[in-house]
Amino acid sequence: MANAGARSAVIGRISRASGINLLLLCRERETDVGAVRARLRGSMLAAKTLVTIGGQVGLLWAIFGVSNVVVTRLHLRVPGNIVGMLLLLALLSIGVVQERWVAAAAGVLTKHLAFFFIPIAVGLMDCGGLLWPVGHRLLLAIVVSSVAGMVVSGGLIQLFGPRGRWEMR
Amino acid sequence: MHDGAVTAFVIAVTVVAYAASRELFLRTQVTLLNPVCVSTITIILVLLACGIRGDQYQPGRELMTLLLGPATVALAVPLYRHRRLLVTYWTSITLGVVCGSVAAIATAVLFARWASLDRMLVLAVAPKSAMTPIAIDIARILGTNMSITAVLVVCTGMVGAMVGPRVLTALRISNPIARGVAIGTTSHATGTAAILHEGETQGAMSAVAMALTAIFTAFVGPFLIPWLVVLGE
Repeated sequence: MANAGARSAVIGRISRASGINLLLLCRERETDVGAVRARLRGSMLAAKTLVTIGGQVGLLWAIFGVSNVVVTRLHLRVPGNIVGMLLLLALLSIGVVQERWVAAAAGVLTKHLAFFFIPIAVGLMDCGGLLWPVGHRLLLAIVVSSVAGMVVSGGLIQLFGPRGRWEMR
Repeated sequence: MHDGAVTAFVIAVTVVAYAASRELFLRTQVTLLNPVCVSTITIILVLLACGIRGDQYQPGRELMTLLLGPATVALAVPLYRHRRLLVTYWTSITLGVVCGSVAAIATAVLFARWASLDRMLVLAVAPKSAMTPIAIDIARILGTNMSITAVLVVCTGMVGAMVGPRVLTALRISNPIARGVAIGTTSHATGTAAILHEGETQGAMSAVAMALTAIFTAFVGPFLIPWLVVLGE
């Protein structure tokens, strides 16, 4: 009995091994075609992603454009981009715009948001002379004001805010 | 050099400087090596070395900032994702953002005036706690220099990220919601990145507070700031 069991176990192991080998062989043969196909699929996907992001940026741009028109027409003293942000927030909240319609473009743009500040900050080369002599006073103003804002904001919440259950939902 | 070539060159320099400084910051995680700060200094030095004037940078700047508007609008998406947090803690968040923003704007204007800074600089420093795209648009509305405001906003973020958590700890402000909102209200994205190391609650609170501070400052700043400036005179 034990002998027969051992033999069947050996046979099973061999057949399993050859099966795996066969599988590997098949996979190896497929690699050429499979790799080409995968690469093709990859580039198609990349192109598709690019088109998707382009379209989503277009949608964001349209929202920005509409808000700018609203701000100029109504002569509001409010930045157009913040009106656009609130408009998009409202559209997302009432479900007119689905999150996935703008998610890809929003991800890329907010990830690299800092890039857009660099060309603006480079404008400093035309007015840097104005800044150098008073730099330390400006820095001090920033420090004083930041600490004041933090203390007021954090202190008020520490005193009157929620207690005990701080974990996020 | 031809105008188009200059534009292509400055765009290339800007993109390379951004990519390199971003990589440097991600590897080192040192707040002082802020990508905007490092790239701006590098680009200005390169432009000066190549004899390119500020006005020659202008066409490139217009091209590169073309997407800033849509990018700012896109900030609604992270705010929308945190909407539950916003609904749950709206009283605390509103209290912190409104009072903190007013305190930050008022102290900035009053201190800058007391330090007898130029009126243009007083207006430029006032919206510094809002994030850059909003702050520069407020600067445009106030009729002051947008580049100076952009640089001051970046400095504010760095200051907040470096001293903020320590100041809060020294004052025994331990509630994670209070810490998050305090940092988000005063030092926007740079502070948010720093407080995120403390915990997810602080980071999310900071992100929400940052967006609400931008909204609040955008609506109140163009009226409050000139009023405060006149008040001191």
